[in-house]
Amino acid sequence: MTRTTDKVALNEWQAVGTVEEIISGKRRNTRLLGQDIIVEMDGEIPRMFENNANGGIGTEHPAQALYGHIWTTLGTPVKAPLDMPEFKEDGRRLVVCGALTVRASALRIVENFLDMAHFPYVHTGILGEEPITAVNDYKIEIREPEDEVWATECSFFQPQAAASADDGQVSQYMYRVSSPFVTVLYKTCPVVEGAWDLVGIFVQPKDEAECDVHTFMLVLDETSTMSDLVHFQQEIFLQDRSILENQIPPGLPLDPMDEIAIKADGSSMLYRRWLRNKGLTFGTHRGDGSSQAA
Amino acid sequence: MAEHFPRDAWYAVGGAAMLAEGEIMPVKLFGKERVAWRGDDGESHVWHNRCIHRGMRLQFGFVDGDRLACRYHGWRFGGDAQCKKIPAQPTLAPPDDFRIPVFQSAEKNGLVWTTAGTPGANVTGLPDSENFVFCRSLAVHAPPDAVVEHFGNMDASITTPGILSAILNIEGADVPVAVAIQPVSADKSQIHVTAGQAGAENAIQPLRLRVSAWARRLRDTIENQTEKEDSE
Repeated sequence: MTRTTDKVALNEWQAVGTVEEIISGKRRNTRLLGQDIIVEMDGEIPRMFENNANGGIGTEHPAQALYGHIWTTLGTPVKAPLDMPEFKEDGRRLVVCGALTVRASALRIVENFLDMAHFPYVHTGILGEEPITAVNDYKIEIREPEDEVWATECSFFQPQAAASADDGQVSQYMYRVSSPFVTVLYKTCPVVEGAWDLVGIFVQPKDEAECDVHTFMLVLDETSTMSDLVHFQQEIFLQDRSILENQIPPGLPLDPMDEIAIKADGSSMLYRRWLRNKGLTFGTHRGDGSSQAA
Repeated sequence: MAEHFPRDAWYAVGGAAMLAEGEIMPVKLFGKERVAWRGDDGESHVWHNRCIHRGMRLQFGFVDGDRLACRYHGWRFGGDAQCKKIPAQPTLAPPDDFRIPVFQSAEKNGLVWTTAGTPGANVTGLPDSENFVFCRSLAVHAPPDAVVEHFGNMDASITTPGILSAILNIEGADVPVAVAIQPVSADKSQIHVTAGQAGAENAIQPLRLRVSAWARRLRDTIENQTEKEDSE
């Protein structure tokens, strides 16, 4: 496809690669919202250029390094990337898991990230297991002025909540969506009582139905090896991918009549409403047949 | 395609024995995705291949007794396609409209049949086929019409939409065969091959092997022909 004309999607900051991979002198040739791009480092300065069809380097766009990733935009962002003060706290380890390509809409990917009800079926024996399948009531809200979707007071019984967990535990969760393509969860840390671990995904929508998902963890865990932590997270995301690439239609339906929802889907329904109010169309299912994702 | 393959006709989509109890099989008809499954009660079903909740393909689910479970959230659907259980909210009695759209389906002549429309209540099955046995199914990378046309050149008759009857001469003996064509999509077909079996029970397997070998050659011929026409 060609670059989307959806201004809502264009006017967001997007993560398009990790600092580690690009700083090593590797250019990253990739795609964002249907536009081929080149991401590179000029000394300490990240830069992004359009990659023209004839192979020439085109217009330069803003880029910045943040949270171990290179962020960029093809439009004029109305707000900065999300603020995560936990990145400045002592004792936390940043685990950058790398990009996983998923042939699905970015919006389906974010919605799945917010969902607890699938734990016993998709992440069986790790994040959930029958017969403990009930999603307890939780709170949802749009936070202003940040314009973010939040779900709080979430909890779920988990056989193996994290790489460092020995036994089952009831994990507490908070979910936060700061842009249509960026979401972070805060989860009970199995090691330090009262602390939260962070797990997030920065979804890079290459096209309406294909994304690179950049995953990070920011954890208080001094015992697990880096590869244990990365493998744990990769296993989870590969399980999710088997679902995400098999949803019909591929685009996220924003019309509440298109798919059935129950109370446990509260965060999904609020996310969909928030997207609808923004007027986002990229990655959505359009009943008029114009959806490129369908 | 409409002339040879009316929407309201019955179409075979697989051998009944290929769909054992507890098994799930994806099915395509006129380009639309379906799922066929059989519960532990022996009943087979053909439904939309899409969960009403979050659109997950039901073919990746699992059979739980006489219910089909969606892989994504474990929603259980009974043989009547009504949602019976939502694990995320175990106390919720699923409303009547929590239901997967279904297609009419039936089993006859060792085949599972379904439709894209509203045929008569009784499945037509194969014509004059009291003693027919299922031999095998084969995917054919050719339009359904091309399969029909090919049979037209070899003295076969069509008395029921999508079903071709012919007499094969196999090792000196006349063997009646019936081939049920499944219009998978505009450019893909599946053929379900059955043969009349008059001999003893122990003659079935040799018959299957011979008719299957014939069907493979037939498939190759049709695909080669289609490829040649495409490149012309």
